[in-house]
Amino acid sequence: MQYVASFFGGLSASGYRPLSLLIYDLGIRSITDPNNPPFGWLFALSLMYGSMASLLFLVSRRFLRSTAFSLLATALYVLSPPVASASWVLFAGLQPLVIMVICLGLLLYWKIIESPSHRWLWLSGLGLVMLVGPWIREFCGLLPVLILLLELQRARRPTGMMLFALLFFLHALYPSVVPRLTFAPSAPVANIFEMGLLGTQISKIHADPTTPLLRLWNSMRWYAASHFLDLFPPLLFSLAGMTLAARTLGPNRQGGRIWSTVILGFLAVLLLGFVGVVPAHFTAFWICLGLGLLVLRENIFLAAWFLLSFLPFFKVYTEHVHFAYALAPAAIILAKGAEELWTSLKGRGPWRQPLRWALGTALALIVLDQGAMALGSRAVILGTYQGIKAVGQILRERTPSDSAVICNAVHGEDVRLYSKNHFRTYWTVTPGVSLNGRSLDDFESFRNFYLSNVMLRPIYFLDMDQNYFINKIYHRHKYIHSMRLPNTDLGKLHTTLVRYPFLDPLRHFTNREDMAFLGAPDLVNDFYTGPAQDGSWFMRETSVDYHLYEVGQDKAAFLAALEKAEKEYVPDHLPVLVQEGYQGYNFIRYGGRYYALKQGFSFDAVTASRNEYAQGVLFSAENDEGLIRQLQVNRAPEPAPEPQLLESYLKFNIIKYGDDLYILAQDEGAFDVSKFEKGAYRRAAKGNNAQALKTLVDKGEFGGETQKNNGQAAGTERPLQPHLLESYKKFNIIKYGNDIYLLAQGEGEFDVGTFERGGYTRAAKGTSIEELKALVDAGIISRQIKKQ
Amino acid sequence: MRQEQKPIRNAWVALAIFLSVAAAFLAYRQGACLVWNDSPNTCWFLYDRTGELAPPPPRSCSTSPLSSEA
Repeated sequence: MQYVASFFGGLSASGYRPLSLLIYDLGIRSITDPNNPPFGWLFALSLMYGSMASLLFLVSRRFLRSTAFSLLATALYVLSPPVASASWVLFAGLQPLVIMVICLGLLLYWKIIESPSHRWLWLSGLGLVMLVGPWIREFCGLLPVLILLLELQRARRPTGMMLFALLFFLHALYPSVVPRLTFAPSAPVANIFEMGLLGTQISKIHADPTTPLLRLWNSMRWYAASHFLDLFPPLLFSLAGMTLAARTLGPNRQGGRIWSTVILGFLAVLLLGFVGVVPAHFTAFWICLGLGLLVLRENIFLAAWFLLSFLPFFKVYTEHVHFAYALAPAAIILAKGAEELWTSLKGRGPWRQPLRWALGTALALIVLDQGAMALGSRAVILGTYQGIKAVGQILRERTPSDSAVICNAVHGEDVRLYSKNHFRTYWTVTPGVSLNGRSLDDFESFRNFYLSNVMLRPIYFLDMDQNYFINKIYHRHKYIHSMRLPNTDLGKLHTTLVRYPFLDPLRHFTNREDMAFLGAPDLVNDFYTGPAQDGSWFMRETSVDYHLYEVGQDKAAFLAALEKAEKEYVPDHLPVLVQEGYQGYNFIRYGGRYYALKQGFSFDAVTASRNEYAQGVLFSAENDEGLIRQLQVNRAPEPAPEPQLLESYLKFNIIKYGDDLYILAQDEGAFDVSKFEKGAYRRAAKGNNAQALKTLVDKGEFGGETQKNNGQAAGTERPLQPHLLESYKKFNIIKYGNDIYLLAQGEGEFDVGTFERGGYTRAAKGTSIEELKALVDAGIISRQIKKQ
Repeated sequence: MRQEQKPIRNAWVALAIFLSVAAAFLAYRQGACLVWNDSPNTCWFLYDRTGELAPPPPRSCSTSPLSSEA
């Protein structure tokens, strides 16, 4: 008795849960071999799971017409990921115990109300359940609330049963008062919100400096709704939607105009979600609310049970096992929706028979898919723990005893266990680690750790790496991936890879980040969870790579590198602007990858990871050079620029086209860049600036018929043609080849042969226009001097 | 709310569920080692540094924000 009472006298960090602590203690004392859980312990768990399933079945029978659909509800719950994966944990059974308490309490209540015999016996049983429940988990306090609701619904006036339930609700709020007044005088007296995790979560709300409603709204983890939807086959939710639609639009319409309007409004918002008008998380939340709507009119209690079990966890949600309580009423509601659809297809009609076959097939697929998830959980647990054991064994063989191993995943401690306590575990992360001094999340603690350990024991980095989802990048080993610290690569130790099938084709549309991790629930951030990375259809994957590095022992060099890393370090989980305005794009580094985001758009990591930006808005690569290549290859073609005449120069036009300048003889016609690229112009060139192009003209580069590309001769040699550069005082200055000639306008057309033979009376040859003009000005041409 | 009930039949089905789920659980759990889940917070040092099994540790455990202690 004293042993049991000792658990009631204190408080653990998780809150006042004396019976949970007692179960933990009994469990740990029963272990003799970590590789084989004690059979007695497993046997007790099997009885607990069997009881939970049968009690849930009996409760579901209160709401469902047929045994078959009650079995469906029970199967959906027992095979769901939170129940299946949490059943593997050593101290499993605590969440099912809560469902057991609630179901048993409800059944006892109904027995008291409906059966005249042995009423006091059932009432004592109900009192015992409501007394013991809050000592297991705070959430058992929901039972008196549910009984109050049922009683209110039944009697519609104050009753003795209501007072009974109210007393036990107070006990659920202050679970330590009864032990303190009786057998555990050292028990602390406080309400459940002031003790343990629940108090921590509430205080987080108070710390937010906005209005109370906004505080609550901002602190809610709305993405949890998307996770909830992966806990049942999506096809099942589709059937629930069809039930709602059939109820409103079908021939056997139910309810009045208000109900029809509400349901149509619900379906309309849902439709907006499917076409992407409202955010995906809101749509997911809306679907979950729809479960309440599905039974609200016919059974308000069931809707209340679901919503009271579901909504509070949006405040504390981190992993799917938190929905274990809400899944029980949800399973009954979904089975009820399917049953209603099935019933509506009874009778004769041309379409009813095939539709019933289709519905039967869908229901079979749903059960098989949920079963596949449970088997997937088995495969994941066995696979991940085989990997943990293997890595533990390798570390035992390859590292000296009492080494320090710095991990980045929570299950580093499991590796230590299966290495037979061969090393000391430290972590690069804080969440999930509350052993004092073991988290080396910041530079100061890491530096202090290094200084106090480097002379005593070898230090290793154990990189547990996976294809991290972008907003989980914090969990990657930052001392390996985000900074260069002196270390020796000892190679890859092991790869854990588990693939498991699913059957519901709608699961293909589930986003990776919403897929349930089927291993031990707290290891949710340790492993890749998502679609099979080899692209296999109807397969999901859980995987991780283990890589070992030995940390450099040259203290001075290591500390210098650490100091440099500290100055340059930007956490991978924060986006950093690397370069601004490259061809209209900003380069951003986030999560170890580089992104080129079109200017004018804001960066959103999740949208980026899902490739949901419009085409040409975002590109990603391993580094900035890769980004530039991506931009060149993949960037959406921009509209062709219009050629723009900048100026005319000596019968040439200088044209700007895009970022380039071109010069084109005026008699070549209109500028067309494709003609230029094909070499179709005789006198044209491309250059960097207008002056350089003019110089080409001045130097007589276009005197012949050679087209210049980028200042280089292009095209084949053509016969030279005289080209009028300008007229000056009744003289023409003509370029011919590389020479410039002066010819009086009265002499007729220029012909170099005539010039060479001295056939012109007033003509000259020079090296520049200015020189020839000077001859004209000096009157030398009038004396028919021909300058050679 | 209450559907038409067949209590005796329901009780037999519930018993069948109890037995089959318990048996299925034992079969399902075959082959696993200890799955600690919240291992950094459980403080259970099963071995001493030589690799020998050690006695159970004191019951002073704490949990963390990631804990599944719902």
